[in-house]
Amino acid sequence: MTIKLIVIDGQIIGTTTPDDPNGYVLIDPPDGFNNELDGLEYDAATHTARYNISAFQARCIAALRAQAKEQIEALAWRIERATEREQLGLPGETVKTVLLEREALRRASNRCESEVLAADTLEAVRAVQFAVTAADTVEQAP
Amino acid sequence: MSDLLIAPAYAEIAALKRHFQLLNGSPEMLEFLMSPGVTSAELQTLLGSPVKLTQFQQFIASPGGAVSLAANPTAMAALADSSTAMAAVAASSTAMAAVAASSTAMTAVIARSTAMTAVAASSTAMAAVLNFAAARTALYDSEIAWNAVVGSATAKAALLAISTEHSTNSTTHVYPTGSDVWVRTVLVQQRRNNYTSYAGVNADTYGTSSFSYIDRYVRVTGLTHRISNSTSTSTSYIKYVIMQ
Repeated sequence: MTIKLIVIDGQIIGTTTPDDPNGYVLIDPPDGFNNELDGLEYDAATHTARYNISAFQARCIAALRAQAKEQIEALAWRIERATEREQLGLPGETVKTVLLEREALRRASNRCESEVLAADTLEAVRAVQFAVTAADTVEQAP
Repeated sequence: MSDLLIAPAYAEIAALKRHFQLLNGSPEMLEFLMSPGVTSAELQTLLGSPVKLTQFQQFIASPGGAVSLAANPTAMAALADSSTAMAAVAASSTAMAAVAASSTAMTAVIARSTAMTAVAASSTAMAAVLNFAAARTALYDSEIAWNAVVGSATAKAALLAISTEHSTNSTTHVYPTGSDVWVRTVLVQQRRNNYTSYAGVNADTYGTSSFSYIDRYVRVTGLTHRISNSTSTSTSYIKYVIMQ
């Protein structure tokens, strides 16, 4: 099926079929288009779409930061639990253990951002997925 | 002596005529519309007279008149090809309710661009048609009818007004509530709040990176949608109408 790109206010905001009934400005996707709208920009002078890796990198970094923030905030309840247990002298996960996990998330975020910026193709940028690896973990001091 | 053998008084005849007109509108209009060979040209000519047009409007707005008309294929065919008659029908909620509830009437209407243009341009008519599942299906299945719908801002607004919103943060295609593999569905609008929203028939045919709803108004049998990436803040939103 032929896919067209929808241009609204100078921005590529969607895909549709050639018989779209809504009167949108429709243009052909660039060569190699794989249905990903990320990184596409509209060139009004030539009325064409082209990839802009810098814009795509910026968007991916913003998404990575959002994921890291989400996961860091999700650890808040464990910090609270560990704090209260430590105050009570009860066994269980320590505050330090959870804080180290948080730090690993920050390091993972920074590493992924560096990988995104180092990537020189859209495929390479897309391949970067946020995840904590062994390289991101911080050894707990004895 | 039996009542049947007593001649009716003039007052009784007048009362019966009044009751007939209340139920069926003008007797002359009924006779004209129900005559076997009535044509759209004759109807169009007749309704050129303001007096006859008023009679016609009263006829189609009467409960009996609207139902008799909708059940008569010859009359409906004549009516559906008359722009004046269809405009009057489309403006009457009583008439349109009868038309939408009658497969005979809907068959005549959806096959004619004159009729569908009038229906699509009337919020009253569209509301009546969209209120009946069979009438919605008829709209969906007819190219003439559907082209009239997507060509009319009024008709699209009527679809939007009855649409249901569905959201998902699934990265694989999911059916919105009520949709399934063979369910005729109209994708009305679509948006996302992060990444890219895709909709189609288990395919990424309609994608958008827009934070605000964009218009779609496309027929999709077995509508599904998904989001391109899964986080708690990435969601695909669609508005849709089940057309059966």
